[in-house]
Amino acid sequence: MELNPSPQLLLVHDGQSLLADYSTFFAENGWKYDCISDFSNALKAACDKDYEIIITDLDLPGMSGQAFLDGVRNQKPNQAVMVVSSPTKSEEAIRALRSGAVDFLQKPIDQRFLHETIVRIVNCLRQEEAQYRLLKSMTNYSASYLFTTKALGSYTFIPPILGVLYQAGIISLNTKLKIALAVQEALANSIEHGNLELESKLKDQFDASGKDQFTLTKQQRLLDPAYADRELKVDTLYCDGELSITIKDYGKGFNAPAGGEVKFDEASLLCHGRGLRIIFGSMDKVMYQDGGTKITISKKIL
Amino acid sequence: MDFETSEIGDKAVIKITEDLDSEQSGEALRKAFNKAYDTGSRTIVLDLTSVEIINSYGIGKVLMCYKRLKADNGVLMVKPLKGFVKETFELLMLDKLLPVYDGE
Repeated sequence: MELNPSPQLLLVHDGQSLLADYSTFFAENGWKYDCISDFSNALKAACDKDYEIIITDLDLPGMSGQAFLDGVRNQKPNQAVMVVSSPTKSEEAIRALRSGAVDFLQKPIDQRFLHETIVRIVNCLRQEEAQYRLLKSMTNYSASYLFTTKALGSYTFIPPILGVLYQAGIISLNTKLKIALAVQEALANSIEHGNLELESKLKDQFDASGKDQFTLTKQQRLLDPAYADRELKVDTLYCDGELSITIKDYGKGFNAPAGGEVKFDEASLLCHGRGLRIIFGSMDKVMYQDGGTKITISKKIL
Repeated sequence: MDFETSEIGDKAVIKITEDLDSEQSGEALRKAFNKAYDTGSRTIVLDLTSVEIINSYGIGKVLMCYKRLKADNGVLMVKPLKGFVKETFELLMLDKLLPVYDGE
């Protein structure tokens, strides 16, 4: 897959590293790029110019890779940065991801993989930018996503609309995190109680080694196509200042408390129902339909 | 991933340096807690000041520590919380369950 228009990249490396070899590769692809060999000048360039991605080594003189990332994050919070690290520095790379890096690649880097990664990130960024423009020009926005249970068993889905609303300054970071957490909890219910048909009481049953039956059964069912291939549909709708997220499972659904009442005391907190409490506490409205197989959570944000 | 534990008087303070939203960080907390518990600490303080995100899985791990200590007349405390973690603890009323340790 090619990128049109060509992406604008900044390569930060000392000229000795393997990253230098890829300058030719970028040129061959017709991609525009600048190369800078120290973090101070790279930080200045990142602020002065608009790069779609900065690709950087973490080991350069003058400043730590972490300080460079923090500097970029402070001055240009939405700048995409991809780090390249040696296999012995995986913890550093994980810290970089925690600091907002969009991805990391381990040396030695396969050219095809590098190409695919950059295309994927640039396409995502362009899609987000397009969504942002759309949101600014329209009052209604909707998007749908379809997953298999197996895919979501090892992946956390955060609706892109949250990133768009946050970037547009419509919601705060705390609100974004709260809604993301509520979605995560609702998805967990739809996956575990809906598609995987797991009952909460299994959490109180343990095998001889002390492992709970809920986790063990979940692991088994995630390997069983009868459960793991079931789909999960997520619809997001932003309309008149209200954000609604609907999650539909294709299993047994989730037995919601009658009237939306969530029992809450120390005993229930220590056993089950925390996720439900988070959903009800973070969102304005929670509605169950279709025998519990469909949940819609909404929040007024404007 | 490992979380470090320091001792202040009779208290063991576990410094959580990753978000508590994954199996890896939950396991690291379980390991650090077990180590402090097995060496005899019955007042254990969780330092969550570096944590930005916690989910119900992470909260489950914190409550596992609470239950284990409570069953042995111990106490689980937390350093003063902030931001999203503080709000989530308040939402779940964990602030009523876990006393705050504001010593250094």
